[in-house]
Amino acid sequence: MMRLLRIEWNKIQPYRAFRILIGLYLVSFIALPYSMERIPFLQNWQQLFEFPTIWFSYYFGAEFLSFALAIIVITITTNEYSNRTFRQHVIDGLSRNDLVTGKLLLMAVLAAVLMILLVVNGYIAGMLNAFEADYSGAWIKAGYIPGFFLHTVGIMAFSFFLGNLFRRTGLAIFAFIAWVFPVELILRGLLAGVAKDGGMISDRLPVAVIYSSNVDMGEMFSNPTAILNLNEFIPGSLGLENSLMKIGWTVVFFGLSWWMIRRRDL
Amino acid sequence: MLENVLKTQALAKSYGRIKAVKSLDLEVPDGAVFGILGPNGSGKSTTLSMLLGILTPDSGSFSWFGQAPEPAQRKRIGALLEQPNFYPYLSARKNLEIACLIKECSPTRVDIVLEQVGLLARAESAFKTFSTGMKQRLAIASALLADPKVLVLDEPTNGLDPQGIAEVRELIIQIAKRGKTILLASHILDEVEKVCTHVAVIKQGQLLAQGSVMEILRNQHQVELKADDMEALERALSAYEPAAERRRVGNLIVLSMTGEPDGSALNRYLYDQGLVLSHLRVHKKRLEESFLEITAKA
Ligand SMILES: Nc1ncnc2c1ncn2[C@@H]1O[C@H](COP(=O)(O)OP(=O)(O)OP(=O)(O)O)[C@@H](O)[C@H]1O
Ligand SMILES: [Mg+2]
Repeated sequence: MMRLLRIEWNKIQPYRAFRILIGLYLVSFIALPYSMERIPFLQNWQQLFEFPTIWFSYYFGAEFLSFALAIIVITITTNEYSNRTFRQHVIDGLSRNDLVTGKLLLMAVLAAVLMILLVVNGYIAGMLNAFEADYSGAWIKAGYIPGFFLHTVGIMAFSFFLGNLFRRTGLAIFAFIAWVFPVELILRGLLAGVAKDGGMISDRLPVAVIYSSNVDMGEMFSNPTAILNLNEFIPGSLGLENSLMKIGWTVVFFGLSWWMIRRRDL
Repeated sequence: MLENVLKTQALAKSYGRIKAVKSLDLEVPDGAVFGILGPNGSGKSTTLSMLLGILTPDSGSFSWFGQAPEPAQRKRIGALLEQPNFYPYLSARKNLEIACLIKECSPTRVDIVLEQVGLLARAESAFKTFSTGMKQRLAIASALLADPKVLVLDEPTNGLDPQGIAEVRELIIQIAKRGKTILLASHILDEVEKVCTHVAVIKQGQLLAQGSVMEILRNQHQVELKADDMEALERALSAYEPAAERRRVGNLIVLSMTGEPDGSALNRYLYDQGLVLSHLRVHKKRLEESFLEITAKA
């Protein structure tokens, strides 16, 4: 396992595009809880970056940055096809399962490291933003911390799947953007029109699931009582259902990737 | 004692309607330098790809070292298949370090093989800055990395300069001397003839002949003939028994003889039929001629 991880790390660590993208991501990721508190988009906005709501806000803000992770995963996946290195790895003695396992490990470790960073940085930001030095309730909404891990792994699994499906960087990135913006939204609209329970199905589409924060944002911004009572309006975690669905899509995307790599002539 | 390092049974692969390999049976003895000969598109690379796990055969089977194929066996096989595959942005050394992690060999091997192919001075240069021949050399270095029991080389001298070609051939001979088995696909007959102990000839995915170079060359002697009236000569020779084969090559007729050729007997035989030869030459057959003969028959 460590061997597969070292192989993956040796490939990407000197890679310029990876360094730049992950650098930009990390800078934004760290700055996020300090910068967003300066955007007064709600009456009661300060609350969002105090304990314990900060865990939700950090999660929510970080979702937007995941786009960079998607680009990274798509690039390193499609590179294996354009450099024909997946093929060479198999010739050299890796199994096809190893090809998937290596990437899976890399993504899990990356998501875990980012989660730890979120905890440390979120806690520092929460302390700086706190009115008084009472941190007893700091972890009430900490359920968003593992939620962030699930979101990150989910979006990377989706990107890995697209990378394997299209094998060309530009094509896979285009497919990602197309799916996130128009395609899934159109599907949602169609499903809502067709089935009575259209909402039920459309809420289970991959991007909707991976990007769900378990909070109705429209309601949060428009409902005055919600704004005044953010602490009560925002739940403590993603909830069981959404967590399971995130895991479900992750399994599906890795499963499909595994199936493609197993069957394919490399 | 292991008899065959590699054995394939009725191996077959199609790409859609194109049958690239049809029911191939190969046996590669331990320690052999085994040449796979065939014209362009005859299925050499396809065969090697199946043997190295990157193509799944449609039917048939093969075994390495007497065992069913599995990925771990390939750590002990050094392979160079068609073009070199490396990360363009990584240096030669870093690329080999990755291959080394995959093959689980000692990291000290990296410098040794770079030295062997003459790339040590350029070890820190990115792969994408290499010339075609340097890329090919790096791929050969990578194949040698794990000090493999078996080397699989698909046109290893592709893109090399004459010096490089000679070096690679010398390297192959040296490696073979250390008791390693080498599987070499090529359409360069000269290359195969110079280094191989065994050959298999394939055409359109079909095995035409297989055996030691000696066996394939068993019709060892050839006779070239020329006369003023070539048609009459051809007619006369059609009934000449010691000739196994008769071919027209340019303005000559070439006979492959079954036994030791007797030039004066042949000359007398033709003279008796009223033919006077303007050219008669007896020589040993080369692989090129056997190859053309075998592939022309099919
Ligand atoms: N990916 C592919 N898709 C479709 N057909 C292919 C593919 N690869 C090879 N073929 C076909 O399979 C046949 C065998 O090709 P292969 O590359 O094995 O030949 P080869 O003996 O290695 O030739 P060469 O000496 O030119 O390298 C050819 O007819 C080729 O067109
Ligand atoms: Mg070929």
